[in-house]
Amino acid sequence: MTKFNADEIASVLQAEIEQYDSNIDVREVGTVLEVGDGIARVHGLSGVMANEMVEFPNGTRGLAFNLEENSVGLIILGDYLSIQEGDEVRALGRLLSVPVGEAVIGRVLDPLGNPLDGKGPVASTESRPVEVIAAGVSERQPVSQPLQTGIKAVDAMTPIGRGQRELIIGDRKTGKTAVAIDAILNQKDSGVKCFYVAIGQKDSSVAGVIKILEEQGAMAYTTVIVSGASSPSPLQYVAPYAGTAMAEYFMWKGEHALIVYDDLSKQAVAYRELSLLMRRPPGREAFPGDVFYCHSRLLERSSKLSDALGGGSITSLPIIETLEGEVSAYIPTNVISITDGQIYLQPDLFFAGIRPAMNVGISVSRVGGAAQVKAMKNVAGGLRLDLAAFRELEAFAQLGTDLDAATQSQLDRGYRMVELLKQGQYKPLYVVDQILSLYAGINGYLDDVPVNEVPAWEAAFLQFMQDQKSAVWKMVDENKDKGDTLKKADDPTTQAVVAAIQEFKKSYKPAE
Amino acid sequence: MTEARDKAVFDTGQQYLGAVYAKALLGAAEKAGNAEAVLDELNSFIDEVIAKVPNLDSTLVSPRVAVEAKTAMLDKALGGKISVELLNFLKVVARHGRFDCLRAIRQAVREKLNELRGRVEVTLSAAELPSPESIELITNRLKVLLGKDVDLHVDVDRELIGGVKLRIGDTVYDASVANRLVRLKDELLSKTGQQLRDNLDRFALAD
Repeated sequence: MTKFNADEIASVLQAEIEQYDSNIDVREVGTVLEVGDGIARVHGLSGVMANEMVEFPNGTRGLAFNLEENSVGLIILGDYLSIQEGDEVRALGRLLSVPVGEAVIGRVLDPLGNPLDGKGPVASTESRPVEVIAAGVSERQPVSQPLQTGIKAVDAMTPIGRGQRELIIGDRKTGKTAVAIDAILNQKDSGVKCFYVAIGQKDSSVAGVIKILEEQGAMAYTTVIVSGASSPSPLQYVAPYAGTAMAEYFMWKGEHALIVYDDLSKQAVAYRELSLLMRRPPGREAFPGDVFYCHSRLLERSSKLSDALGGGSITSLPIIETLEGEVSAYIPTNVISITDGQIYLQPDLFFAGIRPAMNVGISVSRVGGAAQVKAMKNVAGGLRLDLAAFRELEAFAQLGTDLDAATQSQLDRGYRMVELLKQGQYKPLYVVDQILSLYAGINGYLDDVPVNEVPAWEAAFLQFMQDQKSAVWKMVDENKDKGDTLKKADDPTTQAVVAAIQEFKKSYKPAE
Repeated sequence: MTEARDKAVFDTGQQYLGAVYAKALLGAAEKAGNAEAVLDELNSFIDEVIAKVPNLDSTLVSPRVAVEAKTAMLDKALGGKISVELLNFLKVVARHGRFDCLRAIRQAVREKLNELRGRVEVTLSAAELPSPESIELITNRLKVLLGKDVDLHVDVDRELIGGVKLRIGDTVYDASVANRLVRLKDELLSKTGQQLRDNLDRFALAD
């Protein structure tokens, strides 16, 4: 317990008082007419502009949301219980902004940048406005660099590039957050800064996520922005924009960032609550007419900048929760049309043991192979179609009829590939391991392994490659970006890998 | 003119109505050329007559009293004592049943008349009532600064401790002692806190 030198502190205070030079305080004011439920109506503030920040007598901030003829509607970014009718509200003359910079890395913050982790104030020197217009067409370049999530199913069949928006969509409890967290964990040592924005989540769930990130050392490059279920809806509405502002700091410096919005359905509900309280006309499902704009302007800020501007990027993984698998509901269809692809997680796959529960058929990445490591593209290029064909056959096989050898082998290969694509939680795989594992499966080296032994085989094989065949492993790692690696049988890398696999198979004995 | 500003609850519905009726009254009064006199009479009606006879107010406001009865009452009480325009106006207000908006109407008439005459309404708040000489000095100074005629209202607010606070429209110019103390406190806390964090050694006692 540090004891403080009272004389020193008193001398500092005295110096401050002597130097204090106060000018006349000029402010634009209004009077609160009514307040409640997170919003306030104010009379006056005749010069206030849309989205301008205002301050209440108790220090809480607000935003001017509705500019009406006789009053101004404000949303209150904090506790509204101590605001009373008749209170004087002052306009601050600036837009809402949050602290950004290296100082936010590793912290847990609220949407206004206030710390929630008890580690002291955020010592940042810069701030960025929460609402900005996204980079224009001429400031961007097409997505070409891969962002590895570490999940085999995603990186092989729906690859994500830096600067892409890939939606993770599914019912509750299908593993959406788990996919996003694995993607964050896999960015270790990659230089990508990660941001996890929790909107309307249970505080206990967010605490669990933070614990995992800390245990796995991910907090060294991750910022968590929390606006839990009990926080006011204006803060839940602002949270994703605040997180994006923090990520944009790195993008405009030429670095890369990954941001996860968990989840945007709850942000849409918070926005609906605000709009209805503000008497904005309700549209479909009572959402306001501009709920599409609410999400599109957020997601358009994730981009890949041109080389002239530094080549930085923000990749975003928005999460949407569907109800009863209904992807054609209002908000899911809106966000699907905005993003560059979706990963669709299904509960029946989840409960059948296929985790990640990705439905390969309807999951898509619109950037696709352009953002995939070349070696992976060569290996897994046809995997999607093969799995689609397998799914058709699987239904057929349930009829119980006798099948010819070719069909039976296709079925067997399919079962093994599905088993291979399963992956444990918080175990992201490095891309070279993924390539080796999938190469073995796709080229039939697993056909003689019983289906329920496939995971053990894979684990042992990868260990073998790292321990005893590290030269081959390094060869794949060095050549993974070359166009011909693992494409044809006469490629030297291919030959080395095949030889390694055959050697492993000879020595492999399944554990008892 | 020393007068306490109406600090009553704002009702934007009544404000809007007040604006409509004020426009009508001023239109008629301007035509007759006695707008200022009408405003003075309206002020004295509200502040003196109705204030002294509360039953008059409740009767005029009540929807259960017939319009003819209200008109007759107005004629009897005010006929010949106030200008024709104002008397007719009060009867019109009674006919439309808008007597509850009378204060809002008076406020709107004052604002619109100021606008017409190019006057700016300024509220001066001070901890103690300033002397008439000070008020005149301030009014003249403001006239020069704003380039317009000034309608000054003075408000006494002990919470200010000292200094003055001027409100022109929705802009407040606050040079009160209370406000300066608050801002001093905020600045002290943040600057000293920052210094403490930056040089913890300087402030910690050596063990």
